Amino acid sequence: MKLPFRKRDYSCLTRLTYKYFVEPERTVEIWRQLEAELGPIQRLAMVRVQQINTPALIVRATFDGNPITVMQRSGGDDGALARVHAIFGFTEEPAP
Amino acid sequence: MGEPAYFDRFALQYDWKNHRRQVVGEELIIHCHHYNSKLQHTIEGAAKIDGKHIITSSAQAAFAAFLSRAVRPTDSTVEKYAVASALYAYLGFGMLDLSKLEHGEVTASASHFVEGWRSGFPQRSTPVCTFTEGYLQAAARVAGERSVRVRETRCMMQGHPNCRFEISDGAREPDYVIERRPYSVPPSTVPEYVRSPNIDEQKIYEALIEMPIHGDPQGVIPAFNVYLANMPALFYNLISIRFVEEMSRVGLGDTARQLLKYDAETCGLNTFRGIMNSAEWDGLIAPMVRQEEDKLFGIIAVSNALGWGNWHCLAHEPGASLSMEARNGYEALGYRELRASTKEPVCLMLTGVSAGIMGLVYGEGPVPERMGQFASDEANCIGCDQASCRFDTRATS
Repeated sequence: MKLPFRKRDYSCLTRLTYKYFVEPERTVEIWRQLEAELGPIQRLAMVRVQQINTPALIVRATFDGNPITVMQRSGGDDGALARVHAIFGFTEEPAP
Repeated sequence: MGEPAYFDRFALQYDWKNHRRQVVGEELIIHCHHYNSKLQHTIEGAAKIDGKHIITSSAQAAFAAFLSRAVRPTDSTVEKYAVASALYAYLGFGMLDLSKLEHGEVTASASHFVEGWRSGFPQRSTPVCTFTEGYLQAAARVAGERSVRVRETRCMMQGHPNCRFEISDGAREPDYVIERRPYSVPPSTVPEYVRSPNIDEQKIYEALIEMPIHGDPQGVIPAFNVYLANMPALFYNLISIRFVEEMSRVGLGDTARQLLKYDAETCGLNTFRGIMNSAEWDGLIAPMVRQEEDKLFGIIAVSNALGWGNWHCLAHEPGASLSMEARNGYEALGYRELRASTKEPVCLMLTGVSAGIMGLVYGEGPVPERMGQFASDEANCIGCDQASCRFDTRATS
């Protein structure tokens, strides 16, 4: 499987949730860029979770940083998701 | 960045022995947006009763008592409304602007219940914030000493950028009055429970108590892949008991009980599916899982930390059966406080959840097809004068 790729997560808090699997060697750099783009990373040591919570998106992973779950909040703009995709280097497969 | 105003008044008190969460003396149960909206859908959807009224009047009654303890005699009216707004956000119900309440209008810019309806019933096109109507009636009663009627005139569920509530003087009818009699379970011998050597229950409890399960800047709690909310046990007990009673009056008591068990089974499947797919599960519990049944014991530990009741496994045959004992389930204790003893077991939520979590861990096929693959009965109930509640679950085929 070519990285990065994403998998729809149907069991999540919003209907627009995907889990992104990124290149392991890029994980640290990706989180640095996410922090610069979206805001400070909140670390919940008791459950080993790191997350960035914005009005448009919630981005979270374990302390390992990968895979990264991205949840689009209700009313969130698509621009925020596009910027996260750019950081991941993710492009959607063109329709056949 | 500091905590929002008044959050310091709502410090969590956790009773380790009984697995009880309390804020300002109110016992809280954590459930998610899927369960809360589904429960509302069931109660409001019953054609022969006024389910909406059960929810508003129960919310008003439960939160009038809660808010009365959260405000202080020295608070001004403005401060009391601010406390009401802060408590709503702290508990995870969303963001209310009460600044114009005295002029007859309240708006909400985020809502736990709207998120639940969007997720479970996206086709809904009418307002859904019944619970909030009751909460606002309680806020006006406590903060403004006013008897008001609240009606949601537009809702984010309909595509509006916020929800709007109209406040008018004069309640539709006298307040629903709660009579609670203190009840404590007589002491009895605690049996030897079945536990997994791989699941560190204490570590799970400590993590979930330490975790900040309160509203974010939007007043909602995105955690464990769901939107959580801290709901008074009293509210759940009032709506469940009154729903069954009113349905019984029209000859549908058994149907009501089945519906509430069905909602809980769905909760066991969907809520814990979300939890098991979450980063929190991956970070905290997945590293402990060595065999399939460890997932079940992880789920039980999480549910105890959410305040559902001090319940543990009496016997378990992986993939086939589960017997659980609850020594202080909130449904049974609530029933004893609000009513009296009964012949019918009353713990419908824990009964349904028992089947749901077995289906989640051992069921076959996509999750929606796992409904009914396990069946659960409450064999003993504190509500029926027994020393504890026992739930027996077995595979249906």
